[in-house]
Amino acid sequence: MSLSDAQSESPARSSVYWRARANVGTYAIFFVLIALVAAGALASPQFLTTRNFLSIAQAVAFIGFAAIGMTFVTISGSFVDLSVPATFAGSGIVALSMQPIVGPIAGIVLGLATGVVIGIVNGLLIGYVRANPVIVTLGTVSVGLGAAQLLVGGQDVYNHSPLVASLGQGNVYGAPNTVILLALAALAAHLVLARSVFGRWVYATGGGYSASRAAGVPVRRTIIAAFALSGLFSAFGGVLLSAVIESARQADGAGYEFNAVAAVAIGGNSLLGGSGTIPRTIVGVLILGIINNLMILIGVPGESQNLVKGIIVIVAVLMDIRLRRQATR
Amino acid sequence: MIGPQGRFLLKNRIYLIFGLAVLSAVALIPDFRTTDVASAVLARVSTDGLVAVGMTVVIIAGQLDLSVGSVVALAGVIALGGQGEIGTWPAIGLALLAGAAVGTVNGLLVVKGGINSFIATLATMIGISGLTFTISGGSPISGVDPTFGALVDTGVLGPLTPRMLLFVGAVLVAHFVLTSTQPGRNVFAVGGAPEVARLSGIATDRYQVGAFVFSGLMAALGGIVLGLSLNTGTPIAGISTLLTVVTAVVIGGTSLTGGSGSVLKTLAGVLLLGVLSTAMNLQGLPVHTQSIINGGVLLAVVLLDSAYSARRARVRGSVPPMSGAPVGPR
Repeated sequence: MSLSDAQSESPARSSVYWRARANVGTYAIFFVLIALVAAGALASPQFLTTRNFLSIAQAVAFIGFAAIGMTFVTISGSFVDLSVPATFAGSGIVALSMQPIVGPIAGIVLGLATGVVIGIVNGLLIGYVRANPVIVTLGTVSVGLGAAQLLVGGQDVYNHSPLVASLGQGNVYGAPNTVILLALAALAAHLVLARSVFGRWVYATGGGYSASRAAGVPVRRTIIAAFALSGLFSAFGGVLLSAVIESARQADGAGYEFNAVAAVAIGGNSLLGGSGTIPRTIVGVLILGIINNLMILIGVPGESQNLVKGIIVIVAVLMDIRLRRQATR
Repeated sequence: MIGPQGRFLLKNRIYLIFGLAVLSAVALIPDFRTTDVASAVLARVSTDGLVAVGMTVVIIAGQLDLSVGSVVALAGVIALGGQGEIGTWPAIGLALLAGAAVGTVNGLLVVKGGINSFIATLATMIGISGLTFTISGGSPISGVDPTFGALVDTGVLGPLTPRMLLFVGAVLVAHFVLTSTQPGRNVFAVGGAPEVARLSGIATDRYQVGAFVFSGLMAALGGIVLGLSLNTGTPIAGISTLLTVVTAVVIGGTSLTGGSGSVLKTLAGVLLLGVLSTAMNLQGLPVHTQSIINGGVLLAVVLLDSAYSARRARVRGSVPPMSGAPVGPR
């Protein structure tokens, strides 16, 4: 009897056990976020306040837009979009420099269109010509930044519209517009990826290019759309930044491509394509933001902050890899 | 179909493009016709060129090293900052050691940690730049031995300076090792088909780590030479190195998917970029126009490459290969 008990119990117990372990692996990064928040609360009394959280969210909002766009590119199997500095700074420069000619709203639309155009060029070269995404986007970032500079003669441009300023600097019941817009953008991107046919195409293209093509997925157009979306989201961030600081210059998006990739990777999205989610990316963005915030709160000297950040990126990615390997074993 | 001559030209197109660039610069820009320009170009590209030699090996081995720019800065700060503390040569040795250490960390993160090389070296790039700022306190450090630094740019073989000789020597040695020795050939095998290489008894992990260590060493050498030449170690040195180096390697025809490439062609790629930027500076083109042209050259070469490989694939009757396969461990 004891034998039969053991036999009937052991598979059941191990199934529950394994399911729990699998979930630990799958949601590892969310636990990391919670652990970081707990550590922050212990480290500094100012950490766990609404005001501090809003300031964290506001500080990472712009990288957040770029990271949301990057997620589409990564899931579609095209690895990375290094043209973010061009779409980011270019859109802000176009939006503000076109303002006197076409008005503030049309200027913003033109700014967003700039990002989409750069994205479509990337997508054509990567989707149709099948060139390497790293090289193509390295080329377009150089051309795009140069062209944006050429448009304004290498000068900084400034905002002259109170409407644009209030869009960037306003808030709704205390929540800054930038944070609200980021949340809306994340929600929209999540719905597109998780619920739409196009979203399924993005996963299919990244998971198995040839098989998806054979099954009738328009793989090339999916890749173009993924890059166009990356350009659009990043341009959204760029236009918004130009509205917040009421100016735009070439250096505005410098380094954002790497921060966005880091956020995507920290969130545990596979860089090989075919899997990943927007919530993971947002968690990655928040982890980056909390790390930056904590280092300031506990007084890590400014020169050393990048050292700590690099180590934490490695630890987060290593931990995610290990936990997920355990989960699938 | 392309004939054998056509194929030869296509394979060696970078030399053709380089020759055309020099000819058109000589024809169009009067100032370009002096011997000073030749040595100015060579001096200008020497630092990034040293880094590009290391990067070529890493890319042939199927990986990517984003941390090179930060190592250039770190090595410069150590080599110049250490001059007063431990002497010129020990400081140089320490800087080289630091480069090798960063390479080892990169290699182990990729091979043992299983992290994609893009992310692993992105993280070390961020971390090393933080380390460099911590060591230097965020400001440039001057060397205490400016006469030694001046030697780097003094002609020893006619107009050839130690800086140029180091670069050309590194290219020749790396080319010889890669093409004519067994370990060199193994690097191609490891990058082209890691699983096949492993089953053939090649210690793939060691080669991958070795490639990163070599890249770290070359980046450190570039940073030391740059620092000595300016007699200053700057924490923001090497900020444009990554873009220039990857562009030069890719223009040279080394494939980012690994398993193929040539240091000699990287040399041609590096020189082509040097000729372009020297010519554009002589013409007084603004920086943003130069940026458009540099990016345009990269895109044009990529288009040419893809058209060529698509055509080859059509001839064979197969699907064009995805040249955009992710870089990293498979």
